[in-house]
Amino acid sequence: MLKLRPVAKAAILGVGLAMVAGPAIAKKDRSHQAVDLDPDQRGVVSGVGIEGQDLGRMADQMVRDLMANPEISNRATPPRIILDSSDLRNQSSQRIDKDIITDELRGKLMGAARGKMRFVSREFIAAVEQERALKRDGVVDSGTTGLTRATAGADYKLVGKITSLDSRNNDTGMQERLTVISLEMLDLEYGTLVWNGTYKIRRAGADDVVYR
Amino acid sequence: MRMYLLGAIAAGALLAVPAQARENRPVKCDIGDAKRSLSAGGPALVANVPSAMTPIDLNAVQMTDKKLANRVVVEGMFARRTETNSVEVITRFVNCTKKTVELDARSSFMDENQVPTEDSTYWKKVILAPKATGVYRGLSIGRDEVKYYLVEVRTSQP
Repeated sequence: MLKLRPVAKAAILGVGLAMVAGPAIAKKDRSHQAVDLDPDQRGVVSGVGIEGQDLGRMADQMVRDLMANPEISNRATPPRIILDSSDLRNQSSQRIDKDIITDELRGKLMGAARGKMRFVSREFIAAVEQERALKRDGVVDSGTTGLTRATAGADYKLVGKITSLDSRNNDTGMQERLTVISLEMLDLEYGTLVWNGTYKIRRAGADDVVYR
Repeated sequence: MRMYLLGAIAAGALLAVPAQARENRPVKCDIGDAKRSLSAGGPALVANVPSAMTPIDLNAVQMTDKKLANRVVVEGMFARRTETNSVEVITRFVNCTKKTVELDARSSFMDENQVPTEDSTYWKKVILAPKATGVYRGLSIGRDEVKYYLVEVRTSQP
């Protein structure tokens, strides 16, 4: 009879257990793997605020509404529009990167407009000014599109606010939030608002979700 | 004198028409009638093998689940051109039940060859109070090229 020391017995027992429990542990590990989700559907972690599925839906609604506005999308000369987050104010209780809203909207609107609107970038104007200076100093040639006297002035700018109304039941932990994203097209010469689009989200839930 | 009297009676009858409306009775539906109604025979989406699926009528509402089809009736379907010549479809639903019904609707737009002119709209939630109406609106991005549309409806999803 082979006699084993207690340490060796424990080692053999451990290996045996590992062999039996191996698939179960592996299965458990797989459950923690990242999964691909549809960006337009509610995710696994969801709360009462603005979420991924709202962005596409909101942008789709706004783009269709803008494209039906004759003052903006039916002009003989396509209007020039600044569409960035510099004048989108977040007054809501949720922390959010505002660029994700304006980038989604600009992307969809550029695809839909197909030349009926022109988009002016002020976010990266420093890059434009730097290249213009290099061309005029003769460091680089004039490129293929030629030189212009000045960069494009804009006719309209997207402005807006994100606001929210929060309520919470401390007995049940249930919380509710109404989030309103209100976007407007501001005439940069005359100061009038030529379009308004509002997207509302009202959600309730008890899950403790942190947006960051 | 008799002529005046007849005229007065006729005018009175015309004025009385609104008073004959059913005002104090909740709506009643016959879902079976709606289900059994035949296709108008207009344009439709047909499978490559025609018998492989029932045709999907265009310029119409398509319910995607039986549960909803047993609870909601399409009362009216309208389509019109906007000032920019895009198409706006408007659908009015009636909730035939005594409970609130939530549905999602989306629209698709096609050219004369039934080719999609753009992505379908996102699903939009419509909440129908018991025995009440609710309206869905969808706007196209495409303009002159849009010839057909389809509104799809499903039970609301979270």
